[in-house]
Amino acid sequence: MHDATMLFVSPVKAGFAALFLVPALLGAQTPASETSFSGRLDVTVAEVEVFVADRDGKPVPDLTRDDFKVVEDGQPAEVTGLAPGTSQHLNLAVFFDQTTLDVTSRATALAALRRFFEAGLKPGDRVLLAAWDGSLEVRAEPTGDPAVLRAALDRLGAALPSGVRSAQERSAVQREIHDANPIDDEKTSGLARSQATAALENLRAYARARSEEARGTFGALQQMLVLLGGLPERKALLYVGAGPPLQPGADLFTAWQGRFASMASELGFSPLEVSRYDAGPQAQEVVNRANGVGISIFALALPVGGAGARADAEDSGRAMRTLAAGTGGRVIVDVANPASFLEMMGHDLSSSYLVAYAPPQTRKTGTHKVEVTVKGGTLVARHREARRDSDPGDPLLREALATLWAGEAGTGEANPLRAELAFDEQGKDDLGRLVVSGLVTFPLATLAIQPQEHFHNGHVTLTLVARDGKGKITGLPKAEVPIEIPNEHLLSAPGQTAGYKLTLHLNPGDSVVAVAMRDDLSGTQGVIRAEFPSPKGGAATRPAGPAAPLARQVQPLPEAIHSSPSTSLGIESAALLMSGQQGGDIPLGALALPIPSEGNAADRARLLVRVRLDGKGLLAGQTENVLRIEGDLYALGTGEGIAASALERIEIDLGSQRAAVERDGVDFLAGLDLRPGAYSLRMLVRNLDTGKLAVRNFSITIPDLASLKNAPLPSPRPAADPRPTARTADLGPLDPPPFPDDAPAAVAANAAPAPLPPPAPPPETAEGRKLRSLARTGYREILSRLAAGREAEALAAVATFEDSLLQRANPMPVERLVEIEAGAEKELAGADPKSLVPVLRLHQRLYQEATDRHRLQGSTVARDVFLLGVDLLHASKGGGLLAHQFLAAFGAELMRSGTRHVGEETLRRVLADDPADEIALLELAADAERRGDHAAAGPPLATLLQAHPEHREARLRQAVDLARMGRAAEAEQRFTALLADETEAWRLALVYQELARLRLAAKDPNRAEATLREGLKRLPGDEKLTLLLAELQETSWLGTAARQTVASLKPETGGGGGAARHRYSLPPEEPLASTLATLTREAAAQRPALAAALEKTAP
Amino acid sequence: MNAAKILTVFFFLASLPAQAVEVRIVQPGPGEPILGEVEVRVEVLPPGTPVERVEVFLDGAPAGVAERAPFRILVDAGEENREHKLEAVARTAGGAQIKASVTTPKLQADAEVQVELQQLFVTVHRNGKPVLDLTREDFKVFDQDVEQPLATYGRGDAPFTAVLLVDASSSMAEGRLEKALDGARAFFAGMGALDQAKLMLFSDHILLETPFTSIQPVLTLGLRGVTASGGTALNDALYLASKRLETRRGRKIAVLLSDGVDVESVLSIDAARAIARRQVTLYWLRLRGDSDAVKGKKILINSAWRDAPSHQREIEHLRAAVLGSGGRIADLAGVEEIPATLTALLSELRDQYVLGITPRRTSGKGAWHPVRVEVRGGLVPRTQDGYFEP
Repeated sequence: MHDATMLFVSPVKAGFAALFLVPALLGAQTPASETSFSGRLDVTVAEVEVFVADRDGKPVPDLTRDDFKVVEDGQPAEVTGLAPGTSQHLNLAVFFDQTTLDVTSRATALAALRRFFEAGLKPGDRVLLAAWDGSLEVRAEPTGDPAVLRAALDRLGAALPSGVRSAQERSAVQREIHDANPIDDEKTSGLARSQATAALENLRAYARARSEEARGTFGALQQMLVLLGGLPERKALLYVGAGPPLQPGADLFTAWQGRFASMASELGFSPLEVSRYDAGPQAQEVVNRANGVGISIFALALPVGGAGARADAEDSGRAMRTLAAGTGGRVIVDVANPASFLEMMGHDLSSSYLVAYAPPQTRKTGTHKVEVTVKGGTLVARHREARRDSDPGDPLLREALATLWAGEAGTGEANPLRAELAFDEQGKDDLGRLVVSGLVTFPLATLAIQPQEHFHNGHVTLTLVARDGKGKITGLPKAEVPIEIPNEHLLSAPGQTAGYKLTLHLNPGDSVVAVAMRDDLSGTQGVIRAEFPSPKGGAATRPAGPAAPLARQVQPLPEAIHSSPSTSLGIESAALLMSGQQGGDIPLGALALPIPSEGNAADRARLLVRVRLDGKGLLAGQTENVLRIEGDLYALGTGEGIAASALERIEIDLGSQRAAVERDGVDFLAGLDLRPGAYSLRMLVRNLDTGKLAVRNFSITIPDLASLKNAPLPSPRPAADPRPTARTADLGPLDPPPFPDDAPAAVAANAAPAPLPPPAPPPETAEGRKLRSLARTGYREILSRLAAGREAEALAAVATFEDSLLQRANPMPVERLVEIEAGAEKELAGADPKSLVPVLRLHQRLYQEATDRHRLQGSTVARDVFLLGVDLLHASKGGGLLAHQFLAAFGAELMRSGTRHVGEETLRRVLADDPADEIALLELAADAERRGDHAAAGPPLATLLQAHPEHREARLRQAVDLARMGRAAEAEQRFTALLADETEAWRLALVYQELARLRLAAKDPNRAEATLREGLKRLPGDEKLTLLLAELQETSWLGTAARQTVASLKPETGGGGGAARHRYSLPPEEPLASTLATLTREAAAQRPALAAALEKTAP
Repeated sequence: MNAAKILTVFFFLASLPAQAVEVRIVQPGPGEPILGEVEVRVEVLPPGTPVERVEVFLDGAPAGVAERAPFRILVDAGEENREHKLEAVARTAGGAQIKASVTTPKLQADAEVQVELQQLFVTVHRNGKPVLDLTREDFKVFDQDVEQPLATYGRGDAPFTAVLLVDASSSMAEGRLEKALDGARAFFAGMGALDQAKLMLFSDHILLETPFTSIQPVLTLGLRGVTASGGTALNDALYLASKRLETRRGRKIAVLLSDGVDVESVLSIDAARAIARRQVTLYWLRLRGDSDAVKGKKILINSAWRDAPSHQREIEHLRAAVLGSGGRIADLAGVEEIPATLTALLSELRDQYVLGITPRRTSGKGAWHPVRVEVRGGLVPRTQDGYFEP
């Protein structure tokens, strides 16, 4: 199931094996690269737990902050807070070292622990009980339940301790040295050498084994510290055992040397050999780790075989003291009654103080020496001796371990990577453990990726820990999941899932598995926890809550505009960039300039890119005071491979920049190094707070490098940016050029005229004369604005004026209004007929606008006033031509607005004036064709062709009409003739379409196909020709070929032949547009005449 | 005991011992016959082994090369039912060649019968509400009037691939297009992670076409500022949408949102229907409204390309295409119904039963197989009326 969806995962580490938890726990063995993701913790407050006693060793209560003095690295630190240790619950890890205890000492220890658990724990305290017998076995989850702890202690008592074996081995070596013959004569020297050699070999074996045991114990202690470190609140670790020796066998080597000094050199012994078995560094690592996570270690070193029976005891005691003293804990060695020690520890823990302090500012990093004095040193203060800046342990491992324990404690899961964990039991291994295959899956949609040429890659690191039915901890400290998504699969990638398979061997019983994961490119980290077998039968991840939003710390920006490069982007962004789609919410423009490159990229040009983001678009919906922008730029080569990219994250402080951003937008400047060739430059911009985005693509060609020598110079970087500007770090010293219109905008000489207040409503009297007079005055006032060149204002005003009369409570009839306006026209015509030209143009526009806005009465008034005015102009001397043009254009507009009868009537008037009028004839022909009346289209087209035999559109229409009327041969002949000299795309497309259809109808698919192919040669990518060809192939059972034919079909942008039929359905735009332009010009020219006429006819 | 050994014994994961490089053909699986175009999957172990390329040979002839993991090669095994030898050769960076081969058997059958899974997407409603508790036994499927055993049975969550065809002609002006696009956005937002869609905006030609994707912003990026204008070429757009869906696998649907009458297509609705009948379920969200062109169900419009009866016929054929595909026509009284209708459509898709049959191929490629589904209890299911033999 999951395999099917793991299309893009390259599980190169799926065979990751034989990885062990302990090595990864040891900071020294953690790969250096690991730490780069651990984040840096800037400590502002540190905390140290201080155990205070008087000179008699009794706890001292009721101390205040002023009683404490903290010195770190020799510098005094301010104590910022003080709280009793009991203000936090205690998490106590008990490390029960079976490797150093015998039956007697263990029984003593268990009895003491039982008493301590029953009486020494406070409500809310929890104990994590672990046994160490060469493997670490956790005997109970953190719990304060005495019954659970008792049961765990009972189980500990049932196992065999192995400490006695060590003591026996030691005794044997000791005896061997002691019993060896003295070297006193020649005779015995051979025997002595043999005995000395044997004793030395056995001693070395003993020391090596003990040393490895000791190092293992210290490693396990570190592991316990990591486990404990994942728990919240106050923590302490109690070591119970005889203590691992720091220098095992050191006293025996001394004894051997004392016995065989003369042979030492001969037998290859050196006193320095002892240091080989020194476990001191490992003990120090334990101290360091404990200090890193603020854990005090208490050590109870119990005697094995009776007090003084073990000569390593002193050395072991030294190890325990090292651990305890360095961490502020307490140690007692060789006590006959451990209960008293535990009681003391209980007192310590219940009477300690948590001292918070501000570490002094220092450049030193790593470990800091801490000294605490209480009441000027009159009281005894015990505390950890050092603080570490941060623990270098793998944060993923810490997280996984913390989650492992957190189940019942209720620590919430954060699973922003939306990972899931599923198990499948595969059987049992030779040791009777369950072989369980696990699958960790996470959707690709949550990952950050980075662009490569033909794919995008991502990387996830995960850590898995499991606690099985016997409490054994197993784990996979580090697994890497590289992810590779081919660019062509990006669009479906978000629905895909990546996965990591692994196999666990678990002891039967209830197991818990925790997996911590990190998206290494984004740093997003999450953790999941699952139980096996699942409580519900099927194994699965415990349902995770909704993905926790990543906490974003709002910090002041170092500068008003801060730009930083990013190595990755989300799959969605990458898919948007690769999709070829463009659009979005933020208007943006871009320009790019190639210049010669410098430095190592000698075979490439430097493309300087300026992207301008619209400020209002950017800020729409913005609530945060910092504007965070994702800006991504890809240059795609001809093979759609990513030739170069720039990923940038920009932050702008809106406190100081909002006005500038809103007014001027934001410029994003970048540089890309590209080889000569053609590229598609793709840019994505996203407001990271509002999610609003925009994508734009444009084509650019990088010319030969030689020709770039004469390229225009880029702009030197200005001293101060004219608008908020962000530059990529590698842009270089030169900026892309500014936009051509970037010169400072001139302040408008004249402010836009204030909108005209609506005319005063006509008085509410029934006196029509007065109303007409007012209306006439109002209308003339509007015309005076027209005469002043304020046409748009006049257009708006006349609409308002008319509506105020037509829609009042007692509305003026349309006819009356027409009469008033036409009356004004008559007056003007009387003064100067040419003054009518701007007025007619105004009403022509008014009609269009009223029709568009469904102002039905307004359109009627405009039409009637216009037609009356045209009559006046036509009747005037020299006004015939203009009147004719007005009428033709208006007739066409009437036809197009659906007022067919009036329109046709108007056009007939035009034709009466000029029987060969192009606009009128084409309009009438097109109208007939739209109605399917092809015969009716014939006469106007014939008339037009008689006057203009080469009129191409008329020729085309005539051919189409013939085809529609079934006169195929004539139609084909005309179409073929048209092909010879036609160049206009839509007409060509239509000719090829019609020819192909005719040939298909004539059952000649081969010719039809040839026609279409020829058409596609002349009009590559034409949608309709492509579809017709595909359909032709389809009907010939060439479905695959048809698929290939349409595969490259893309939406046509402007000027294509795809919309030929639509164009054909409409009358031609060009003659009408030309006439309208003439009329507009003429109207502007006659404004002075209008002004004069208005003045002349003023009441 | 050596302490280090103690550690390694207890802190472990399943250990994969160091091993030589191995090549496996993991697909086709053991004993699996191959016919036609099949995907061969090759695994090189241990994972991460640097491999320059993997070559696949079919019956000794080179069939394909993959240069990076996962190694997947499409090979054409032909239509003849016979044994084939597949060989995979991995060439490592070090120049070594590691080979693996499998012999795929002939398809065992009593007679020479070619079968291919035919999926039927069935909607069952009672009183306008989906019936969701039907079992496999409640269905009977007839192919060419012969009852077929159900090879597969499922409901609900099969991913789909959809094309949303939105009419952006001038008849969609005055806010209608915006509402339609809001509906498209709602549809995309409601898709599942594995569903994919394509948006096609059309008027008299295609205005915008997105790639197939599940990423919503890719689908909606270009919608800002789109204005309704131009004529209507519905058939052409539907034909293209159906062709685009042709190569997709699984459940395929085309949703047409239009209020207009097609006056400017160069293709007939029958041309589009012929493609759509290949396993595409059509849904038509028809925006109603009397205009000069349409009065009720009567088409009055003439055009330079078709007369009114032809237009009427086109509309009727479109209607038949939709119903025959197992889809439905939603007559919308107003644009405000669009988003809710599209959301309801998503629910309907999730409530569909997916029945798989493996009928005999008897009539030859391209032959039409009428299909009928019966549901126990007299319920009337909605599904495609047949399919073309592949």
